[in-house]
Amino acid sequence: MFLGTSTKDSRRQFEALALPLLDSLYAAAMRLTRHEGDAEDLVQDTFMRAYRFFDRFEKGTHFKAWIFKILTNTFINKYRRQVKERALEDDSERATVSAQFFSHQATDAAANPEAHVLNRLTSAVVLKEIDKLPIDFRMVVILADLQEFSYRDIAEMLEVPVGTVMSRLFRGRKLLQKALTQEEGTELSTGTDEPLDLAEFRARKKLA
Amino acid sequence: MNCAELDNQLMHYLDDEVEAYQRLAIDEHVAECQRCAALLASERLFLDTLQAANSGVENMAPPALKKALAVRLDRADDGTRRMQFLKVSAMAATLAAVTVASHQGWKTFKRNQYVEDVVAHHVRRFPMEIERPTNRQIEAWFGGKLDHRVSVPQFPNRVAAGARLLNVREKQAAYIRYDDEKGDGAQPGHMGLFVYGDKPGDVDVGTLPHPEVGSSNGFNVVSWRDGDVVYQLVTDLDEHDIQELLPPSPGNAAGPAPTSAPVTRPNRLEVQPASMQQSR
Ligand SMILES: [Zn+2]
Repeated sequence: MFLGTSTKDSRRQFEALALPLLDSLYAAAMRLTRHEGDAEDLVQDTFMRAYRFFDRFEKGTHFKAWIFKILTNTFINKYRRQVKERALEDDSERATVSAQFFSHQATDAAANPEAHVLNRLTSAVVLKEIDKLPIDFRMVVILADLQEFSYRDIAEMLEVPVGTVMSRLFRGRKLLQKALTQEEGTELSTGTDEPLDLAEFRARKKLA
Repeated sequence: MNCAELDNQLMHYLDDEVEAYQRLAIDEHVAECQRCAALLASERLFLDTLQAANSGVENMAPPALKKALAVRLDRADDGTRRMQFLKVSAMAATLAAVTVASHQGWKTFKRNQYVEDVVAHHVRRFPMEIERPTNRQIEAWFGGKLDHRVSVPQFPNRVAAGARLLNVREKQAAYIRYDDEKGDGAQPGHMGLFVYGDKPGDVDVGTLPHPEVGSSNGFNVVSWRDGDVVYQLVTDLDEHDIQELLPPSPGNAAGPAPTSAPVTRPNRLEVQPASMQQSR
């Protein structure tokens, strides 16, 4: 029957576009939900929704942005309520993007070879700090820095102005930089159950 | 370009959100300014660190997830084909009604009149006579107002938002509005169910699990019959969504049949009277 064939065709088209993004979707879902089971559910719901509405996807447009919009919407509607999140204070939205993005502290650190400790922080530590970001900041950091979407794509996905995306990204990164700098500080001073990479860093530091 | 200007543009530069001429100006400045070169390197390192952390194997989709997705896609495809088949047969019947005034054609014509009428009533968004009722309250409220018992079907992730009496053509019907459990009512997913008695058999529809699916004015209408009572569900969901709404869920199948209900009611699982369901 011809109808069966058309279903098969659209299934094939959908899989060709969506399956290569499965790892990206899962990685983003992990950062959003911070829980393996929830991440799997979120990806499944996203996939099925995307498949159902696949006829509404405009062929030739940015499929990754389209399916990530479904992912973020599904997360916001369904999962966010389950996850207790601290609401953002109003002021955080008002942060201006024209403000200096990088603090002097960061500048000093850049001039200092110790800044390279960033490179040596384990992925687990970095992800842990991302996961601690308040959800609105975390969302744009995930989309911009982990998934490399443009400001405009993110604005369209979250249905907020581009300026809001930039200010959230700006603040999110600042929080993250601060946390990672502190992380590095405490780990260097206490140094009990440190990951290998930091031990190696300390060894090198002693040599220097 | 000076250092202050660079500070202001660095974020956009790193995010590849600057024009070519701005990029050039920054490149030129960085080539000559140690302070800004170090700053740029440090920030790039920070962003690279985030990227690297994200690309570990622990962030890759587990094989079980891929399998689960394949199964769900298969299931969705099966559902689609069934629904499409139903729709095509309805369409064929409609054509038959136009070309040949057969008995079947007449039935289809009448059925379509009811489909159009329920959609017309649903879109009017009449005020509800009881708001946010429990299923039991709905059944009690309709008791005595209609000459048939109203069993309130339960749909996954939907709550009854209100109920009232409405007429479907000449028949007095119970109307129950459902909203998405988690939505705000503005999202797709809001539905209206009409329940009315039809002893003469004016509305020719099948029983569950083989409902008729028709459409009118952009809405889908799922119709089925339980004895002399006709159910018509109006929804803006597409057929895939409806398919997920209607299949019986195993959880409901386990409960014993109520003594008042007919003994054989295969697959009427999502459509149980409120007395069998836990109150929400
Ligand atoms: Zn400079």
